[in-house]
Amino acid sequence: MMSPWPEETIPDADRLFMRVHKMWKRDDGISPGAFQNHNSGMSTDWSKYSTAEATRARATKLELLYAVIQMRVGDVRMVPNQVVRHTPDVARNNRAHTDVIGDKKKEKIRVKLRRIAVLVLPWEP
Amino acid sequence: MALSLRRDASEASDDYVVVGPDSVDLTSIVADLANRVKRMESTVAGEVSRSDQQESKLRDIDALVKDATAPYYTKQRSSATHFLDLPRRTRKKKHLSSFEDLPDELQDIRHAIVASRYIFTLSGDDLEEGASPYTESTWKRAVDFLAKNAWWAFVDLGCRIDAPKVLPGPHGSIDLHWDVPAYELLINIPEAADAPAGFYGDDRGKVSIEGTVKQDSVNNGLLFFLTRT
Repeated sequence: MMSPWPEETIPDADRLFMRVHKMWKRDDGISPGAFQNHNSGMSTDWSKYSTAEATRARATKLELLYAVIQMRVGDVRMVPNQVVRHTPDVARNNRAHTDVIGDKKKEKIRVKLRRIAVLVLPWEP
Repeated sequence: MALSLRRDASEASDDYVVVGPDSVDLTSIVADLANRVKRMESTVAGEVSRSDQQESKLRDIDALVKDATAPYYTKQRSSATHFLDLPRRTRKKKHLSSFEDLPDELQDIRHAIVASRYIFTLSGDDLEEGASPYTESTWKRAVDFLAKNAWWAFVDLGCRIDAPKVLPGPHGSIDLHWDVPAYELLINIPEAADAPAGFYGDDRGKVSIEGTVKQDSVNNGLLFFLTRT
């Protein structure tokens, strides 16, 4: 089935939102373990078609288990070997879906992604 | 050939004379003995001198270690000297068998380890969808790695490393994470026991380290990075 939403180029200045499960919560922020690939890449939502609240609401489990972080697209592209690709998810009705593609096994990648992440919706107490 | 000493016949002298058969060249024998005595005296004098120098060096090292403003590399002291300065009960534990044997001086490390026990009890909603549970054996290898390196830094280098956060990592692994103003270091202990641990650290400036180490090893490069500040 042809996607009704074309793949678009994302400007560096835009933001990506990402859900972070509470298992990655720590006293002073987010654990480096939150930054890993699931299937083809690290799933995020493009700020052009989503908000932090909408990103959290898309959780398949109880949404209160999640916080939301944002990362500037240009900063993500500066992390070694990471590619930001708009991948609209028709099946889940998510035009904002974007993958951060690239190996994240190396500790350097997780450290650098964590440094550019900003917590915008904290976990519920 | 038998030689003997006989007191000089002259009462005014305390000298001894060497007496032997007429056919023996006593002069050369005496000269040879005199040379040997001189060499022995020289050797003894040298040993005394070296011992004094070592004592002086140890005192200088001790003063440097106690000087908080001295650069790290000048604080290194011989392991034997530092080890002997440790309290007796600490010296007895030179070969650490468990993180529970860490001394009071390293209680921050011990507390960080104990606080991380929850990791291998995570299940259900406490785990992200698709995440695999954590095993106690992986956690044990991670905390043993931390304890062994912290202990070695303390015993061998006379330094205490900061306590890290011990955290769940990706795919059943355990992260050891130091995030302090002076530096950041992440060490990942994989779920597989025979896989190497990976690490990356930097001072948020020009200095960085990156690589892999064996899970059961003490790594001097990592210890140098952790104790350089």
